[in-house]
Amino acid sequence: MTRAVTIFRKELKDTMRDKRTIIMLVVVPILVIPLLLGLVAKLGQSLSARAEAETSTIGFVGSEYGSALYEQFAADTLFEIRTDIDAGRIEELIRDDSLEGAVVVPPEFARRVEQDRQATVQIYFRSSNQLNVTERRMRDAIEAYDESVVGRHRNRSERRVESARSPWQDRWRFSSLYVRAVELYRCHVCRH
Amino acid sequence: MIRVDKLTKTFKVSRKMRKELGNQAKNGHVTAVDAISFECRPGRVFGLLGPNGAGKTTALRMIATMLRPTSGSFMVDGVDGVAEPRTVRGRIGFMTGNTGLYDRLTATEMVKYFADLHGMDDQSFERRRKELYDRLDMHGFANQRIAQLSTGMKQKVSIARTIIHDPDVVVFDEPTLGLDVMTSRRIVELIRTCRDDGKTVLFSTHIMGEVQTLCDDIAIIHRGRLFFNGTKEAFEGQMTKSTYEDEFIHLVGED
Repeated sequence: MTRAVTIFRKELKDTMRDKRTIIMLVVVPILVIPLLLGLVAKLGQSLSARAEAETSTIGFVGSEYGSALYEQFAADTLFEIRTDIDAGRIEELIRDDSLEGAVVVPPEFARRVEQDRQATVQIYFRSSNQLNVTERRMRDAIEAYDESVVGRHRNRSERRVESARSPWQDRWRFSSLYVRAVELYRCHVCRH
Repeated sequence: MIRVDKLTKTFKVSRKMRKELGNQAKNGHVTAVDAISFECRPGRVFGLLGPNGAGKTTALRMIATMLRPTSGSFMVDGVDGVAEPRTVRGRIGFMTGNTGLYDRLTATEMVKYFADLHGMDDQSFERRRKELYDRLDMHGFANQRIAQLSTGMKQKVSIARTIIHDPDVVVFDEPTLGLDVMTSRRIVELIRTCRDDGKTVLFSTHIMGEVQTLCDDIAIIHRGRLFFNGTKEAFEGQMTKSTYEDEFIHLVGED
């Protein structure tokens, strides 16, 4: 052990006196790391900007059960919506890149919203996509729809409304207290 | 005391080397040291004399436990060097021209490092360091980094670190090679002091003058084999030529 400490101390002393090594260890990272980070950030921005400009092809199943929600999606020109989708094939279509995401509205959706009851909608997306553009767009559309429902009920009711919405409880779920809850469930689709 | 018995070292050679070496590389092997036997006694200087490539360094490296012999054995102070190399390492000081020094350490740091590796306490180190620095005239460059030292100064540092732990057996591989006259003389004086202190000194050289002035016992090695092994007096007694150099050339059959 003492011998190991002796060797370690000698190596440390020897290394610390080596200007070239010190420069490689300290100065080079100080110069190179910000440069690399800058390049990576620029590349990220460029990829993100490109992705933002592209349209997202999504499937919308059950538009007849949630026409207002469908309209919300249709209003966004960056969505290319396909309604001719079989709910059972969504995962397969996302895997083979025919779709980037999908929304499934259950038959009782509109009725439950009208009755101030909890309504559920499912969204599908490829979680391995780092930029998450499609997921975010779908989420924004559902949030906007939720806002409109909350506003409508506020006007209709004398009841005190909790400040519209509790924060997202996690990335995939939020609740609107007035509508009681519109819950979004994530369906994890991975590339195999 | 060093006792060497039929020590042999063979190396495997590449196909390319085999072509270059011709008959010397039999069955893809070359014998660097071929069954040499000799004995170095305490209080005497044993000179291993031979031309370049004779096998001197290989023989000394085996004794220093840096190379494992192919066959044969050797004992250092009664310890079997093949079976207990670690024990032997602690008992000898081995200096070879190929041993590297750390350029960014000072001379004293270098010597202290080896003293620490040998487990010396600070007091013993200081006493021994002063003694060696006096003998080798090292005080003037003690705190200079190795990279700034001349060849002779580096050789002095190398010797000081070799014998800092005051071993009973010292092995020097061509210690004066490439040094100026003054530095060589200092080193020769140090070897004499080691002998006078009762240490066993084994050193290799191809400088006949050193052999004549310094050695008590001589072994002549050529192409891995010993051509003579005995006292200096016995060597002089059987000389048929007038000088050591002529006799050496005559013995190895190169005249």
